[in-house]
Amino acid sequence: MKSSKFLLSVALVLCMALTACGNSNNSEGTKEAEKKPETTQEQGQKEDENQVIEVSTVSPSDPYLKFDEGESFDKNAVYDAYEKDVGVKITNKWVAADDPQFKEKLKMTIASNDLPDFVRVNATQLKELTEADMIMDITDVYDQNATDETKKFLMMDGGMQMKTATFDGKLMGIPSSYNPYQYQYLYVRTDWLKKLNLPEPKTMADLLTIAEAFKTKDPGGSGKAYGIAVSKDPFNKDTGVTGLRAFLNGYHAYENLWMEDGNGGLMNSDIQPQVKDALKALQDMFKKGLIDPEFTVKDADKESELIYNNSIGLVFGASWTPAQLAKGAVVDGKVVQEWGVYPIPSVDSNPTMNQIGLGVDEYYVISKNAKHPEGVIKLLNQYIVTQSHPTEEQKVYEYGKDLKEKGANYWLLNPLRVGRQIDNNGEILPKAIETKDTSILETKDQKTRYERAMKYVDGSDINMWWEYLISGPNGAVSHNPKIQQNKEYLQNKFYGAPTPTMAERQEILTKKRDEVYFKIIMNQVSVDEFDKFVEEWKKLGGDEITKEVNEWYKASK
Amino acid sequence: MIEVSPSFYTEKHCEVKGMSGLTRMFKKEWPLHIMLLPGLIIVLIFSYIPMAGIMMAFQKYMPNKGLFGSPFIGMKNFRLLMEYPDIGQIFFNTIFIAVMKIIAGLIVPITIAILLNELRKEWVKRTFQTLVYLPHFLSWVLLSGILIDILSPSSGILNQVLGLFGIKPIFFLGSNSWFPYVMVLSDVWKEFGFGTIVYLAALTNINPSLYEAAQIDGASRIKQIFHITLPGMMPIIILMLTLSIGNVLNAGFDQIFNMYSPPVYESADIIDTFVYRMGIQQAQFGFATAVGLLKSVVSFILISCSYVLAYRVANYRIF
Repeated sequence: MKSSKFLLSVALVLCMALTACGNSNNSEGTKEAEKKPETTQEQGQKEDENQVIEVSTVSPSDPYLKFDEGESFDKNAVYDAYEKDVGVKITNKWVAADDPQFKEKLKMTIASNDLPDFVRVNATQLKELTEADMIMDITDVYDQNATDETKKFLMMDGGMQMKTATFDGKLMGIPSSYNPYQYQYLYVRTDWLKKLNLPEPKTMADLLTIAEAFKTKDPGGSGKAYGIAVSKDPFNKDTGVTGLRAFLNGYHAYENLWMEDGNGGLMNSDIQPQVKDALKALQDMFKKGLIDPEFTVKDADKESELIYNNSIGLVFGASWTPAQLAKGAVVDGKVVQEWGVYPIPSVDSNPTMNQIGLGVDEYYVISKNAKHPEGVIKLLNQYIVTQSHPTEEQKVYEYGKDLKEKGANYWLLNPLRVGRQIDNNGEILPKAIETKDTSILETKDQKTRYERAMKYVDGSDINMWWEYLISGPNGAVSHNPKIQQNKEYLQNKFYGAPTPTMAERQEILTKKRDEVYFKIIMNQVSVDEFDKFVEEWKKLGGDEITKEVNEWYKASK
Repeated sequence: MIEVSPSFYTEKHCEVKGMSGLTRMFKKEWPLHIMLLPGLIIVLIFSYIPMAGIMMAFQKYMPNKGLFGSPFIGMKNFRLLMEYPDIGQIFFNTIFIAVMKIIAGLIVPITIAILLNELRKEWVKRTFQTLVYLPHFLSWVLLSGILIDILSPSSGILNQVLGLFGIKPIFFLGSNSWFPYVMVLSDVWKEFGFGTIVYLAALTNINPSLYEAAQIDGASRIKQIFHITLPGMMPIIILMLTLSIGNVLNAGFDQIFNMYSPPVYESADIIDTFVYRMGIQQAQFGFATAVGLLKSVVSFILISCSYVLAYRVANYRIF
């Protein structure tokens, strides 16, 4: 009896000890694996004559990234090209499955103070890392190692984006820039306009007439027609199609934008009287049944079904909206819905100002402990070169070792990516596509778009209809030059990390705002509720935030 | 394979008093204590050590400074919560929806279990049991999509049926007077199968001879239900009620989050959705922890109360 008890406990203890050993073995194993790059880094330093330096980073993978046989994040054509061409070997401390996971893991990495040599972070993290003294002041490194081409590339917008990465005169990160001049447009079923003999939408009044005609005359014959497509988060900037930001803009109202108040300070757009006018108009439309009463529970894809099935023929959206419309417009290789793109109409004689952001919300930062910060700048230089004017050989950075497009998305492997801050697609593409003149195409993006649009034009691939509606003559981007020339856009004057009260109170204000805006639109409360909201907004922290933003504005001037 | 003497478990060991008795007991039972050890260690690592995170509730937590580097701000996170203008409404919504769910989640499964128990044909009973249990395995992300379609005022099947009776379409998910009830009903529909199984198990424990005796005494089926079945289930009912009372502040985040919208914030915004928007989206970790701590404290108090009540009223001890 006794011995069996003893045996049992010994067995148990042994089991535990064994599992514990197993664990420690494992962790030692991973530690060794982690150590490996470090030793090679040291070797790299010793082999100074070869000039191969090593920088570590962390990367998100992507479901659309397809590796060639035998390649992976550790070893692939793009990393090899960087090592061969600029002498920088890239290693990954970890690779996340996709971008959302990357962001989660990144938070952990920051929290555990385990930064790789360089990493992509958002504006709030940039500020946090700067304050916590975890990242390097790269003013000098950038100045000495960035080529003139790089410096010019990142200053195309007049230096706004670089300024957002500068704290007390110190450059703390490289903006992961993109073109901020992303406008919204009005998309209309032109076949319905013709059928009902309606004018093109030049003013908001035209838009209302068209919406009403589309509703009452039901040109699509669906039996459940509405005037305009709206989805459940219409004021969010991420709602690129079926939103209402553009509608607000047409009434000279803007969503959560810091604009000049005329006295040298800044004010928030959410509480301006123009918003009330826009809401009043939306309420009237709702009363007339022009808006799907269920829009509050439908996301963009769900609401788009009404567009696909010919119930709705009016929608606001970003330049890429045609890609969404294509699902209903092109069926079995035939175009069954005709769409036209128009600039956002205005409620009065003043032109509509398109609300735009800064074109940067993420930054590449270099860890304080990085041994070779110059390597990161070299990667940046090389990326800009290969993107702007790649030689035949440098196409490896875009497509991998086969140097040709095969849908593998190898460009995702470039660890440090910046985009053009200004594009002239609007000037070039519509003209090139109309005259079939490839000689005026400048950027890689333009060439890709041209090729796609041409497939539609020559009939070889009708599914490319959407690209023609984006880039072709009278396409979405064809409206850009006029907007750009007349400066018919309004840029947010506040940038950077949120102020303290903003971090605490913005959510409360947004909730109140959405609740009041929605109830007014849905005719549950009178439009005068807006005035009460303005008072409440100020009391609930809005005044405090305005004060902080203005202090920031003065300091940053 | 391994024999342990029956005397090993007898009360005699527990009755031994004084230090010498304890050590003697330990000497005899140490293998059992060692067997407990892994469980203890797991509880320690995953339940007790993370409690240090409660500190975050009193901090302005900054991820890069960590738990020990972030500045302490006292009760500010709690004050922020209480100063929030709609907090009363949010608490009311939470408790209102949760209490209704608890009550409905008790009555419906008990009724169904008793009714099922009365069924003669075993296969009907089993099939029904399985079918009602199925929705339990579906996630709210999926179900919310289905519900939005079913409840749609323009194309939803429910409103089309109502239309046959001349009732105007109702926008169930867009109306403040309907939304909470839709949440309760859909939650009960999803979960009652699970509860039913628990109560059916309780029913099998009732001694059949009681029913036989009742039949001889001439009790009808209804009388049998009220005088034998229900009293027999009482311990389980009290156990389930006590456990669910701890959920008074959990009104079901994933369900509501997937179905609410700004126009129904007034009746649908609960503590968890509020904390999600405030704490997670705005990265206010300290604040989110503070609310979590508050919820735990309230739940703890409620569970303790219901434990005492269960003992006093029903003379039933859970732990």
